[in-house]
Amino acid sequence: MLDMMGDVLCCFYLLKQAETAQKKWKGMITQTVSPEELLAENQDAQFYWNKVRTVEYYVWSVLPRALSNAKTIKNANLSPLNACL
Amino acid sequence: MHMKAVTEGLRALMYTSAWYIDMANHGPEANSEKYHDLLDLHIPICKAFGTDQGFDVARTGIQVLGGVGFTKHFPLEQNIRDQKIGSIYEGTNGIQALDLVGRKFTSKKGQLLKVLEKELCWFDNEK
Repeated sequence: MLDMMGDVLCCFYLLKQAETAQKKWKGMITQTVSPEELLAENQDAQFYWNKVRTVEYYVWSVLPRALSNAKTIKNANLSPLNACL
Repeated sequence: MHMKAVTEGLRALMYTSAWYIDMANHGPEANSEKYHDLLDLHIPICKAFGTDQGFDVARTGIQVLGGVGFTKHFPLEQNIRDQKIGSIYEGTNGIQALDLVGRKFTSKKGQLLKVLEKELCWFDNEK
């Protein structure tokens, strides 16, 4: 339960970060520069791009373990209590 | 990438919790109870989730380097040993988890969770 809440809270705050990063990235794009050129030279652009990619990774490849934790909790299996000492 | 994402997520969690502490103790009186409620849930998660995941990140670091990462040639094996104590002292993680569900969820008739739920609706309220 605690692991599940931790994953969800971390992801929530990361999503807030991603929203800001995406806005800043969009702001840099509207000038007449292509994304590839921007990424090649501008360190800030690289940071914002990578922040959004990091959050994308967290949502799709880390958060599913919260769902599996939820399923485990719902299973509510009592076998450790039923084993004989 | 896993190490990067988890580290950045944990940092966001820690900084936000630190901000809640400032708001609870030095912010407007009206909001103080709300931030204390949020903190009651955040603190065990910061401690237990932070140390568990930190150990996992250190373990992944050694794994990535392979056999030589395991040796004293690299500082990583010191990291993993230093990090292991994190999940044990200042409230063992299993006890933190029991306290979270047993006390924090039931205290104030579930008010802590209601306050957290309101916070998590931040994206809905944006529109």
